[in-house]
Amino acid sequence: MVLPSGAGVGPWSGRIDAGEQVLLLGPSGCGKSTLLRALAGAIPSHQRGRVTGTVRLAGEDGPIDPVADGVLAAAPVLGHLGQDPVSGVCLPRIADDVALPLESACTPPERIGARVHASLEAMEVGGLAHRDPSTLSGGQLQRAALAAATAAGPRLLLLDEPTAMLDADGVAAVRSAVESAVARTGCAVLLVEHRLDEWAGERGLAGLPQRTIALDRSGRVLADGPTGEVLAAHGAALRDQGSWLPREIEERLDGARRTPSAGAASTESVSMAPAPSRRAPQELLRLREATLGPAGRDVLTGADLTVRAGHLLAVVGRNGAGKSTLLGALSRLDPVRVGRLDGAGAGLVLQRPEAQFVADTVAGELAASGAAQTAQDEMLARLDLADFAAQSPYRLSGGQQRRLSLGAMLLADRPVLLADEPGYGLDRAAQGAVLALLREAAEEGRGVVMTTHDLRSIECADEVVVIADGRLHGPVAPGELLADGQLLHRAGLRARDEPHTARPVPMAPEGLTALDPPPRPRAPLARRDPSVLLGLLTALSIVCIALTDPGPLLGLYLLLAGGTMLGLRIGPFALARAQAPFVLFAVGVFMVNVLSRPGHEPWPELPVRVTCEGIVLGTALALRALVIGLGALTVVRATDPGRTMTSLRTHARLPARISLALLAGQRLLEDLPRRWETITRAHRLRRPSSADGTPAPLGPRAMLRCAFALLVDAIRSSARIAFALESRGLGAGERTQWRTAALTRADGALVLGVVLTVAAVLVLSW
Amino acid sequence: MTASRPAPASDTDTAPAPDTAAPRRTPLTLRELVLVVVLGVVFGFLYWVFVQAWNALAIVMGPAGDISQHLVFGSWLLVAPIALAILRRPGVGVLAEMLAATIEVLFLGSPVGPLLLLSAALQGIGSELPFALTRYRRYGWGVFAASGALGASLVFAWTAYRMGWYGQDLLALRLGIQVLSGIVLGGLLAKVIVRALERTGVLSDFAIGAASAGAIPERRAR
Repeated sequence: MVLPSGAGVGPWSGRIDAGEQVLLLGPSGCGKSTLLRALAGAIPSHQRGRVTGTVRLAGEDGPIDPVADGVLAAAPVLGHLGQDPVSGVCLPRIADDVALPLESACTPPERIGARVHASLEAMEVGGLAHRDPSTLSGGQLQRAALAAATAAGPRLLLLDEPTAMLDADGVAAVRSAVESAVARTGCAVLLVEHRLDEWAGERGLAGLPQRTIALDRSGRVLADGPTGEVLAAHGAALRDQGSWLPREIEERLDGARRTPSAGAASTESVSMAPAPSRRAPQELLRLREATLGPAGRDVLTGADLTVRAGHLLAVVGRNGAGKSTLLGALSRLDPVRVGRLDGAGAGLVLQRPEAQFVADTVAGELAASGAAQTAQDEMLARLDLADFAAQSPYRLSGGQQRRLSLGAMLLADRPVLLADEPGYGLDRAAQGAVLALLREAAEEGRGVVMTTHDLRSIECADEVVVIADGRLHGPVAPGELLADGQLLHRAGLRARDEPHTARPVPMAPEGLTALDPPPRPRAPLARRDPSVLLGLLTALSIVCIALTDPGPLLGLYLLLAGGTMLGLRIGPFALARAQAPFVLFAVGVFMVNVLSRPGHEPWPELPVRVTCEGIVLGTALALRALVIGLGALTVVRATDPGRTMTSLRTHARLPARISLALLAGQRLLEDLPRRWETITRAHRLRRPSSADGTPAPLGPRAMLRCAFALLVDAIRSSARIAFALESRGLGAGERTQWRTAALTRADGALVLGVVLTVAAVLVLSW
Repeated sequence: MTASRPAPASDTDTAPAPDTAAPRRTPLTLRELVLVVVLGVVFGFLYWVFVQAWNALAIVMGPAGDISQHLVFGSWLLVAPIALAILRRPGVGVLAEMLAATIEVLFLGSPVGPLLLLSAALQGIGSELPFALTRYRRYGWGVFAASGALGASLVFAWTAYRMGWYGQDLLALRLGIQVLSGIVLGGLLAKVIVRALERTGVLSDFAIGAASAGAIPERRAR
């Protein structure tokens, strides 16, 4: 398989038998994901590339050719789970996402509920069936995505770094979910994973898949055989090329060659011991007795932290413990609510480098820091990016992007450097390079703070602070932390001792499972069919467009307002507040008509021309905007996107492809404010900070840059969403529909009532 | 299972959406559909963000605030030429506009209601027409400018009726500002954005990427 960049993977000849467990191992960029995507049918149907040779998957009705026939053809026999929990689940409700592959397999609708439930239960997330994915943790999301990937009983499960973003308990939960999925469906597994120790848990090598395919840096197969043998024979070569290995193998390799090879500094720096410089380091930044977190929710209390020059400080803690909150405060993006922060300004490098890019080229990215040209050139060489200077930073690999964002922040020359998960998702060599950069920054006299959930990066820090239960613990020396099992667990670095009993999942507020029908809304109007409501709104809009007389429009407006308050059970003040933007719009329409329409002038002495015709028509047009706006508001409040699409699929025969693509779009829309905030915060950090060290606000140009970054991010998401939907079998072919919408007598009564009322208003005002 | 669906690429050496010279007469793939939806969503969201900033200005302008809507009107048109330039398929421009409007009506609520779909269709048709006239082969500055101008003017007749602008003194002024805004914000800006996106490489797996890229090279040894 060859990609347009000229990078390729293979040739690989071999077979994966039913129920076989295989680990795919190799350094970043060697084509592990490409191989998985080719098996899933994404090359060339989703991604440009050339596949030579043949790939065949054993389907029910004979062999499937994923290369020629694409993702949809491979979907019935494949399940796929990627590394980003957010893009693993595509629809706004977990149960619907899991039902998708079952609908694609034409499962009879009455049996879908039970199978969705069984699938979610097997992943121990049965109580989350009716939850919105945005309210779930990463570990829960990955398990829900796994439930969807295995619901229709695939023969082969492709796992592409499924734990990259999780803490130790999350890894254990996903791991046990994969085991139960394998036990349930008997599927084969092809696993790509950097975090081998966490995946294997207490069992060491025996906890890994029994077979390993090892790839070298250029994507050629080094070996394919039993895991123990492959690692023993090729461990050294794999490690030299930058691949992660299980700790057991690494220790064996270290034991084999006792002579420390100082030459390969960049790849060896992971285990490089910190250079202890214990000459009373200068205090750069000090946080005292601080309470941090958004207003009304204390994430951290009583936080004390000192950042010293020349020190590399690691911050560890579970997902959601408050690591990013702490960095937000240290960088002065977020205010310290109680307590105080004194000292120098800090630069923060975020987890996703793409959120922080401000220029068109790699060289421009460094120039944006405002450093001298020679310093820029020096940095470019030091980052090993000189060959890419004129390229767009978005085209770099993950490791290169991370180096670039660190380099740009180093050039900005702030005394303190903060890095959020700098090693995440990188292979051994790339992580080594990033940690070496941080180490060098500390040695140059900066104070460096990094968050991490990786045991090995802790080893190169001077001190470690643990965040647990809303407080900071430590700092302690890395060795001390690594020896303390209890503390390691609280830091989310080690799963609890019994890894197979995953954390009990908090049930949904109602404790509803996929076997229960969705909760019925309380308000009477919200129980009506969304298609009916949309139809009524359209009809009402057409009637309003035809009216130019204020009388009947006023009548309609008052009746509609009354109906909305009764039907949605909301008070007059809440209704008025919700209408505020429409009122503003209506006032504008009224004013412009009053002032700009020729006709009879009742008050000629006024300095501006005001006409009777203008007042009458302006009132009518303003009322028209109010009626239609109120109608739209009512329909939006009375429906939710999921029910609307179910109803439109049932009654209006809207194709599943379109309705589900729209729903996926809606889910993205709900996520956009969060992404926008991440990007704007990241960009503020790239600007010169103001006098007191707080990051400066963004001007219009910078806002446009942020908008562009959001667009790039969304287009990348669209590729992932399309792949996820299609790998769940969503196509133009035949499918069943689990949830349907039935029209009731009450819907009929509503239509009749509205028609009669509107007719009465029109007749009375004639 | 695969019989009802056109094979996306029978020749394994081609791009996902091959042969941009002659648009295919097949339905959009899910990938293309999702991209169109996502573009609609993002531009809907960005529009909302920038309108927050704009509102302050509109209030300061008082009655002229109503006129100011024409000044930013062009940005409504952005999504159609961008979708067309990326996917190079007939109908994509109209679809993108209509999906953006759907998102707005169904999920955000709009003072115009479902009739926004009609406006969106007219805007989409206007924006797409110049591209259709080149048979979806040319994507130069001129075509983009024409797209913006036509997108802005075609819908004007309908909006003017709906909003009762006929008979106001400002009709010609409104039309002039709107068309100018269409050309700049709805046409030329779209081209700028497409070019910038192309540079980042995120479009390389769509038709626009296949059009500018050569054949897949021989494998590079490392």
